[in-house]
Amino acid sequence: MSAATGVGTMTGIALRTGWRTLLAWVVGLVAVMVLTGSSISALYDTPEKLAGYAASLGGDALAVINGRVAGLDTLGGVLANEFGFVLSFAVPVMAIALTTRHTRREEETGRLELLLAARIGRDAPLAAAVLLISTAMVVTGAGVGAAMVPFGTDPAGALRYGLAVAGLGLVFVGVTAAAAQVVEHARAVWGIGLALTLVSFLLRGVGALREGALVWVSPHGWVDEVRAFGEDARWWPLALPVVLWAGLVALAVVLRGRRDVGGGLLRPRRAPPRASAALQTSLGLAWRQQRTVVAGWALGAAALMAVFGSLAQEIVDAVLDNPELGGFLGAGPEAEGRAADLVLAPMMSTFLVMLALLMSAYVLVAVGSWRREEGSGRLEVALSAPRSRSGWLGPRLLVVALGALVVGGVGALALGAGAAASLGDDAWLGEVTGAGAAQLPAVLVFLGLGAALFGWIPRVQALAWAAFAVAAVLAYLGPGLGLPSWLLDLTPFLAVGQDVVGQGPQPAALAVLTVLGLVLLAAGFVGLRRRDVPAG
Amino acid sequence: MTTSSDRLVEISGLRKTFGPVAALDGLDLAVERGEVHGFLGPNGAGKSTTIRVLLGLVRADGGTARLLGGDPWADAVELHSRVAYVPGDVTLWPGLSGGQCIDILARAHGRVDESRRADLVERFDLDPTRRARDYSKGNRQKVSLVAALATDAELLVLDEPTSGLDPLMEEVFQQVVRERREQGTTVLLSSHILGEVEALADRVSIIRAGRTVTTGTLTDLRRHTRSAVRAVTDRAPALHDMPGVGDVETVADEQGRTEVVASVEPDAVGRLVGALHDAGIHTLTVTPPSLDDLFLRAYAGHDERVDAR
Repeated sequence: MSAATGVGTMTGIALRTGWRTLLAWVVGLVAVMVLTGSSISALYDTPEKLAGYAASLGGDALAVINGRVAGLDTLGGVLANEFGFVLSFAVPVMAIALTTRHTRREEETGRLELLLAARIGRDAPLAAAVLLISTAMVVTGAGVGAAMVPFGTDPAGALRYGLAVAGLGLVFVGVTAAAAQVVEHARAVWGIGLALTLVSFLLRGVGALREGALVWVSPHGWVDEVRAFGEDARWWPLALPVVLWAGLVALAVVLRGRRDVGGGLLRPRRAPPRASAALQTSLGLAWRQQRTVVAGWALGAAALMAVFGSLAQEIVDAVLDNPELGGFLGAGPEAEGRAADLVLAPMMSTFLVMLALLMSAYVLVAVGSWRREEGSGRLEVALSAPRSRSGWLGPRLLVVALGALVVGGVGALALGAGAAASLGDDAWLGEVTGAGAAQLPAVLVFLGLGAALFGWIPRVQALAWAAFAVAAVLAYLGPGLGLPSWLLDLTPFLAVGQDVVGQGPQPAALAVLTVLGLVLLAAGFVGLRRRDVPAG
Repeated sequence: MTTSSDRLVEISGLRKTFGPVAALDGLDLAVERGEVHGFLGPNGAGKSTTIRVLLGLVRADGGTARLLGGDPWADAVELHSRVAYVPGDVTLWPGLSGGQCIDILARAHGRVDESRRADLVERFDLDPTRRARDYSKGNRQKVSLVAALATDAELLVLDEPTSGLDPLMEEVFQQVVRERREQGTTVLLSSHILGEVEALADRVSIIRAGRTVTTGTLTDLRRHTRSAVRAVTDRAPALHDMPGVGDVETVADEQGRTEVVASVEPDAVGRLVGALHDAGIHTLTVTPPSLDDLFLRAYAGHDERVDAR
């Protein structure tokens, strides 16, 4: 029996236990492209309108977020640009989520031990996971590419783009597979994967704005370098992610051979034998369980926002260099001021929406941990002490709210400070940070939604994630797709104001969202007081 | 003393359904102050659900449940300061050490006896510096046990507390529970390990499919159950048709020496031994029924009733 015996069996098991999640990811990503395609092809239905698209972006400023997308005067290029943000985060997260699920998490729960005791070789689970999820990435890429063709894009360009999407996914399958051998716990694997996603995204953004070689260090940059819809399109950069993927998978196999099943390469450390007085309080314990998570998210938000902020001057320069926009704005210092109002303020507002998305995602991750408290039996133990249910939920809610504020505060300060330093104008620090506060009610709604679902029907807490995904896609794509404003108002992140830096928030929306959030929170308390623990 | 202060747990006709499944179907249970009460039943009989009702975690659909004289759902918080609970399997906070978990769990209940805590960590041979995620199941269980036993609770609710413990640790557990009982602590011990219950329990309730099948002291339960008798005698004893004696089997060799196997009701033991004595006893063992026998018998009886329907 070789170490690879049973790859087929393991693939079957992985497919049997994970096909729903796998399918949801593939269908979800392709659906976003279908949605983008149907809206964009209706909005930009003539060559003239397409030609105007690039100008409407405010020059190269958006390259920070979407990279330098080739062929912006073709439908394919416009679609690729609109899909850019989804591609940058959803595709790597899909690879990380699925690969972690089928490697380290299986090992952590002990299920893998059970299977390795059967006729399954030691390398088979890893091989099966990589094989299955890599295939899923290729199918996703092919689906995204194929979804572009019916709207009238160049089929060869669509094929190149689809393969580039698949390539980005493959890189993160490799990254996750290797990380899963190094650390013992699924959470740490996630941390490594997300951190590398962020680094790659930032390198590509800086590289794209400066038109420098940095894009070549970033797997995100390779997608752009294929120039799928450009006149100078090329196939060879598609080989880069495949080579890196193969190298990372080989590394994972080697690392796996050097460790025990269930173990990692890094040994766990010892911990203090007694709990401090603070840790023995509800609040202290809740904070202790969240602090690493908060630190990770805050670090990510700070890095992302600091880079965005520090590019402010370059964004302004890019706008002024743009022949159409630059001419319209005139020259001299006043032109810079107008450029700041016209382009920079909406850009900063967009960055603040991204920050609010990060905060909300953190909130949902944190609320999801309550479900784990229940599933693990810790909630039962906690409630068997002289402590009411509200006395358990309250401190935890407080910690999550505090965590979200830390993530948001650090992020907004980094964005504002970056912009202020870049522009040499301290006023931006206060302006950006203050405007960022307008997104707090939007985040509160997701905290409330998570709490209400936990209180009433904890089994379907994933619904909160679904609502978040819809709100995020609408918030990011909505304005560009020209969707009706009532639809945009349904996503809390835009309802608070579509340009909170330039035009300020919508007070009525802030009030409505705050009340909605508080009502949902209260519902969460009521629900938890009434229901069985663990939920029947 | 009033009845309510003597009965720490009083449950009658308790019902709870989860969807179409009736987890509790008219269960009765009474735990008196100062006793170790064995709560026996196979997997899925409703032991954990009963305990969750008692702890106010799950709301009963019918019947009454009183804990320490109060309503376990409405008065949960006040009652819990007098109760300590050990669940059958809990995944502790993975990033915290065993010692930190003990402090958090024990302090949540209030009064912790520091010297007792140190003594228990020592006796259960627990390394309090290892993180909970690196503990084996047995070690995780020790953490829960130490945390509960270190408190001054009046009532210990133990739900299959020794699952995963090795025999040495199980012995330690039994010693500690005996010590606590001598200090006046009441224990509700849910288990399907009969030897443990037999060694510790003053009274026993056996449940099946959400209902109490039988309850009483072990002596009570044994009173209605036959003991097993094995003997070797010089001659064949005259046992046939003796009242209270059954299942008689005799095997004699050429010299007439006879091996006797029989079962006997408690009040017929004297008669039986007399008859064996008359036949010249070589060896004699009378084994009272084990809890296993009682348990199987309770179940056999129940199944017969089911079959008879």
